Parts: sequence; C-alpha cells; structure tokens
Amino acid sequence: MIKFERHLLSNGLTVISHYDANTPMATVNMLYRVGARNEEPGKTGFAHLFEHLMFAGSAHAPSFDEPLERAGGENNAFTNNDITNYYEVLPADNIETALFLESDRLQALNINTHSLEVQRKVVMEEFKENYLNQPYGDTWHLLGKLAYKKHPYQWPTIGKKLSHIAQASLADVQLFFDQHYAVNNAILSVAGNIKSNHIFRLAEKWFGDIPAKSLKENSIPEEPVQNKARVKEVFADVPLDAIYMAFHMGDRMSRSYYLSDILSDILSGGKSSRLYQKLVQEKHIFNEIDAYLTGYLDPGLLIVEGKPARGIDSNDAIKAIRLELNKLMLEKVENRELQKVKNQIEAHHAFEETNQMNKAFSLAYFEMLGGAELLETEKQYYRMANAVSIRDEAVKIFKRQNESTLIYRSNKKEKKS
Amino acid sequence: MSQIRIPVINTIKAVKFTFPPLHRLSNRIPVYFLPSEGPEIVSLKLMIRHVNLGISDLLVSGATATQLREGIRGKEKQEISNQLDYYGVRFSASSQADFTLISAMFLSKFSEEVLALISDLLIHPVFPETALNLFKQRAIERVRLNKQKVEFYSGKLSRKCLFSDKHIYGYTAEEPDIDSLNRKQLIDFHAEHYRAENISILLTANGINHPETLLDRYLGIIPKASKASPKLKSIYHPEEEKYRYQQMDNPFQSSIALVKHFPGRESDDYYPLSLLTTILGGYFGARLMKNLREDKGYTYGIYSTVRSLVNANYFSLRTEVAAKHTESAYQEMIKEIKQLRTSPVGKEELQLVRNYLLGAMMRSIDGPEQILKRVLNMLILGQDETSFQRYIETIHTTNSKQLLALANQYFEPDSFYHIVAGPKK
Repeated sequence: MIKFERHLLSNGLTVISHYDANTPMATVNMLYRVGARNEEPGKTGFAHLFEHLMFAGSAHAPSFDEPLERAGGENNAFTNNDITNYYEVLPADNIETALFLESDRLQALNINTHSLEVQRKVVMEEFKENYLNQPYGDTWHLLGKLAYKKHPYQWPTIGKKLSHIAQASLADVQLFFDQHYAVNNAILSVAGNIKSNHIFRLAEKWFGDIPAKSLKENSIPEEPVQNKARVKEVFADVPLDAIYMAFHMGDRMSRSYYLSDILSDILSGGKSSRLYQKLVQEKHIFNEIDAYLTGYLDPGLLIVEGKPARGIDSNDAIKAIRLELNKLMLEKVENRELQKVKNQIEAHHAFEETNQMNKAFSLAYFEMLGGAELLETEKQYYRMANAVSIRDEAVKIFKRQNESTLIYRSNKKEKKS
Repeated sequence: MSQIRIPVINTIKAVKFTFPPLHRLSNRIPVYFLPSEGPEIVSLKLMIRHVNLGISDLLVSGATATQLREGIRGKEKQEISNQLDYYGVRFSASSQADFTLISAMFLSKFSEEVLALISDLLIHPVFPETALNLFKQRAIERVRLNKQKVEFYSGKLSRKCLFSDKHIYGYTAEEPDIDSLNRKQLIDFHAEHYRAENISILLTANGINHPETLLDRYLGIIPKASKASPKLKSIYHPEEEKYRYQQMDNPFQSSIALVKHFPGRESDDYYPLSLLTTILGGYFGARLMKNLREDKGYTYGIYSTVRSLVNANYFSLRTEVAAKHTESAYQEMIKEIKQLRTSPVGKEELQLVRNYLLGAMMRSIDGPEQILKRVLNMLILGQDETSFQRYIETIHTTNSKQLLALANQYFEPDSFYHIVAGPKK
C-alpha cells in the first residue's frame, strides 16, 4: 500500500505526496490531462510533438535539462492517447530545482520557430525509427482506424501521418498549449525523501500564483457500438504473417475493465496461459501469442495478437483463437485458474510498488481517474471478481460483431512460393 | 514572474557504497543479502559465470537458460509453468557471453514453494526435444526479423570488427547455427556450468524469517563440480579494415557506429575515459545529442558509452539518422570527436557532467534492488567495492587538461572502426 497525502491549491492544481525515508532521492511527476484523444483529426500527433517542445527552455531556464543535470537529476516524459506525463528524478535536497523548472515552463515556455523546426524534425525521425523502419511498425495506424470510426483513438500518439507533423505551425502549437496546459488541468505528485507539509509549501511557492485557465470543452466524440465484424488484410515486407484481433470493452473506470484484464491474463498471462499452452506448445499454430488491454480512459480494446507458425494459414490461426475465446464464453473458469490469475495480479501490484518513479506516476494517474485511493480500491475489485461475472464479460466482448481483425500477410512468403 | 529566485543547486559531495554482507551456503555459494522495506516480496538473482566458452556456446548457454523451465525430472513441463504462474512469479533466464542470469521476483508468502521449484529446475532439468524445437523456430524467426533492421547490421559489424566472428564476443548467430542446436549440447552445458563453484546469489526480501536458512535448504544443495575447469586466457583478433559500409534496400534511416577498444579496468585511464565518453555523448545534454538532435534534428537519439566485458572494454558510439543525412551526420560525429582533441572542456560543462554523473551514481544504488544490480555487475567484472569509490574520485578530480591529453591519446579519428548500414551511396 502506498501512503499519501493530498493538497489542493486554490488555482486547481492537485498535489499528492508520498514520503519515503529510505531513499536520498525524490521523483517529481507532473501529469497533464491531454493526449492524442484531444487532437483534431486533421492535426494529429500534436500532444506528442508538444511534449518535445516542453524541453525547449523557458523564461528563467533557457535550457530545461542543464539545471536538472547540474542538480544530479534526470528526466523524461511520455505521451499516450489520454495523458502527457513529465517526471524528474533527483537528489531530494535539490527538489526545488525540479519544481522551479516545471513551474517556469508552464508559465513561460519558449516556443519559437527554431525550436519548433528542430523538434518537428526530431519527431519525424522518431516516426521513421519506430513506425516506418520497423516491420509491423504501422500496426496501430491500421488497427486504430479499423476498430474506431469516430473516436480519436483511431490514430496513434505519434500521429496519423508524417505530413501532420511537417505542417504543424507555430500558431497551431501555441493554441494547443493555451487550451490544455494549465494548473487546473494538471496533477503534481512527489515521491521520495521529503515530508508532505514541506512539499505542499513548495508547491504553493512555485505554482500557487499561476492563474487557472478556462479549458477547452471536452468534446471527444463517442464511439458508436460496432455491430458487424471487420477485417483488414495488408501485404507487407514482414518475415511472418501477423494477426491482431481487437474487441471493444468498457472504459477505465468500469467493471468491464477489471474483468477484461482478468480475461486477458487467463488467455496469455505466462506460459501456463490458455493461448500459449494450446496454440503455441500443443498445436504449434502460433510462434508467439499475446492478449492485453489498451488501458484507455474511454472505452478501450482487448487485443489478441499473434504470429502464426510458418506454413499455417492465417485464417486457420484466427479460427483457433476464436475456439479459445468461445470456451470462455461457454464455460466458467475453474477455481484454481482464477486464483492463479489473482495471484499474478497481486504480485504485479506489489512489484510496482518497489519503484519510486512508478509510485509517483501511479498516484498521479489514479488521482486523475478519480482519487489516488483507487489504487487500493482497484485491488479489491480484482479480488472480488468471480467466475460468473468473468464469463458474462467474455460473452459481451468476444461476440463476433464486436471483433476487428487486422492481418499482415508476408510479401516475402509470396515471392518464395 | 520577474522577482523569481532560481533555487540554489546543492552539489553532491559524498556517494557511499559498500557491498552487502556476504554469507555462504553449505555448498559454498556466496549470497549477498539485503533486507528491503515496503511490499512483502522477494527478489532473487542467481548468476552463473561462464568459463572458456567457444562461439557455439553463446547459443547453447542461451538455450540452456530458457529451457530450464520446460521440464524437470518427474514433472511434466506444464506443471512447472503452472506452478511458476500460479504463484505469480516473475521469472526470467537469459545469458550473455560472460554469464547466465536467472532472476525471480515473487510474493514472500510463497517463498517455500517457489524456492523449491527453482531449486528443482536448476538441478534437474530434462530439456525436452519438442520444447527445444519450438525455441529454435522462434529464434530463427527473430533472426529474420532482425535482418530487416539497419541497427542489427551496424551492431553485428561492430562486434565483428572488434573481436572477429571467430570469438564469442564478435559472433552473431545465423540460421544454420540455430538449426544445428541439439539437446545433448544443453545437457553438457548444464552439467559443466550449473555448479556451485560458478554461482553467486543476490537476494533482497521483506517479510520472510531467516532467508539464509531458507536459501540453504533449496539452493545449498546445488552440486559442486567433479573437477575444476581450467581457466584459459581469452584471445581475440580485431580486424584490420577500419571503414565498413553495409548497403541496404531503401531504408528510411541509416545506422552509424564508431567503435574501438579501450584500455582495461586495471588502467588508470579507464575511469577518466568513461567521463570523457559521457561528455561526448553519454547523457541527454551531451555534445552529440545537442548537435545532432537538438540543433539539427538529424536523429531521435545518439549515445556513446564504454562497454565492459570480462575480457574486453570498448567504446561505442551509435545512432540512427535520416537516410538522406547519413553523410552530414557522420561528419558532425567526427567533428565532435576532433573537438575533444583540440579544445579543453570548459569549467561549466565539466561541473555539470560531474554532478550529472554523481546523481546517476546515487540513483544506481538507490534501494536494495538497485544496489544488488550494481553488485552483480561488479561481481561479473571481478571488481571489488573500492572500484566504485575510484570512479567517484575520478569524477571529482579529473580536470580539463587531463581530459584533453586523454582525447589526444585515445580519440584519433582513424583509430576507430567506422561502420555504416544505410542506403546505396
């Protein structure tokens, strides 16, 4: 269990503190409630591009990294479909340097033609390195578009295409900043060797005077219910075929989330899991197979992905997966198997709590979900899940009309045969 | 805003590190144990030192490690996986040229059951044929996948240049090598290496009584070797040709690498060179990152580092850049290297790198898990705890003049291997 205290500033900034006397370090985590789902369909990749620009320096810190490195710290950030998250890890007695830097860039970021020009190029290289240069690198572009027709989850964080990034103008990014970067759209959490009342004092000092902003109305379109199975096949220069099956499930705060998570663990949590035992070990239909959740805030997806063994037709491989999914819809899971999954989840939660950075991030993330207390409540939800509700969830999400399947067919195989 | 007072930065003065207390099991296996706070979990690392490996053993050691859990005497393979999964164990087993590492993390309340299982799979694995065949298929697919990546070729060529592909450090496994793997090799490798004399254990735990007694019951029974393996000197022959180009079909990016051998850990230059390498490209604010990423936008990342193996140390500088910028990026890399040889590192920059590195050292020993990772690394390289202090001292005391002299001695551009995997020239 992670103990924490909470303090709300009058401008709307929420501050969470976790005190740990067993470390000389501290982690400052600043979470903004903005991600790719807040982008316009014609201007995608902005949340992530903006994350890069946040390192361009600010009025009192021409370089963001230098003071932090000088303070013996390091930092990084990530963007996903829902949030943009920044963190600094540094010796606890230098914590003010991190707070100063976060405060300064929120108030007076240097966005200019040069920094935008360079970061556009860097992000385009990232796009190439991770999405275009890699076999199967465009999976999320294809699968998102297949599973979502209205909701912005149809594009990945990097953006729909290179051109959206290439065309981002200074006015565009400035507008994005004004609409989303505000104290009242952020959560600050600090974990480490600093007492809570000290953190709260420092938070008042560095963030207390920053005025709240009126935020952009949250007008994210809801995804209509899917009522027909979808399939997309692509031919690509990949060494093996690959299959991605996506099933719509509930949002992050729904019961569906926990039950689907358990379903994905029954399917592929470890080598004793059903998909691995049956389809890899026993029948050699797949070389590798996995099932997981996207973990989105709004209704997300349960994904089953696998690479069929050489010589196995992808259509047969898909049938084999469906057979396993059907079992979950028809038969209740046995006690021992359910207990196994619950043990795995309990262990996973315990492992997560050993790392300071994880703790700081989890506190901020759950605070955003509705309250950092949910970190503990969530464990209860998992413990309470029973075989009947799991089967009912399987019936809901694994029905055929809820399925979107992406198949990569290997060009290489074609040429050889 | 205008009356803002930038916080004063406290410089890091002391970073203290000592090895955790050492205890020996009945079979003389050394155990380094640190109690932990927080969640009630156990983290176990078991390191098996490799002795006198030939190139084919690289694959064999990896296969042996991953196949441990595929079956043990008297138990079906499903049973092991079922049990590891049932107790929620995060288990991993992998190998590199110098060592095999078995790691397990689990809830303290399942310690007895999990240790009994781990003991069994370390002592009585059977390496079933079918599981090995599956492993081979998957390994072959991985090789095929890697062959579509430019960074695979620059990495492979780097190792080949430094050590030749006749040495385990320079060798990269190809499909036929994987194909010819057989069960007998795994059994022999296990019989020779999974012996008390080659093993060290690192453990951190919270919520178990007498961890030493518990470990002794299950891991103190790992047998000793019937005879000691002679330790031979590992010899490699670096290649002559310094400039290499691997042509690829229309890649979006090129991969560029500059590598060379560095002096051994016994040399006085070892730690100062590590500092110099950091200045060049060892952290986010380093010169190469500033120039190629933050100023020119050629790349998403560029890093230089000193790699340490038991019998070699080498400098490595690598990046992926937009294919059309291959030549200009390469020229900038050479320019930055030359710069180190002509102008002394400024006072400000040196102070920044010092603090950055001291902070990094602090982070690297923050908490029992981190400390044990550090100790593991030092055990593998045969370092004692004074080496940590030596590095800290080096960071504090090395000055610009010494760095300039070192750059002139070791950073002559023609002394590197220059490797590019990229489009047609």
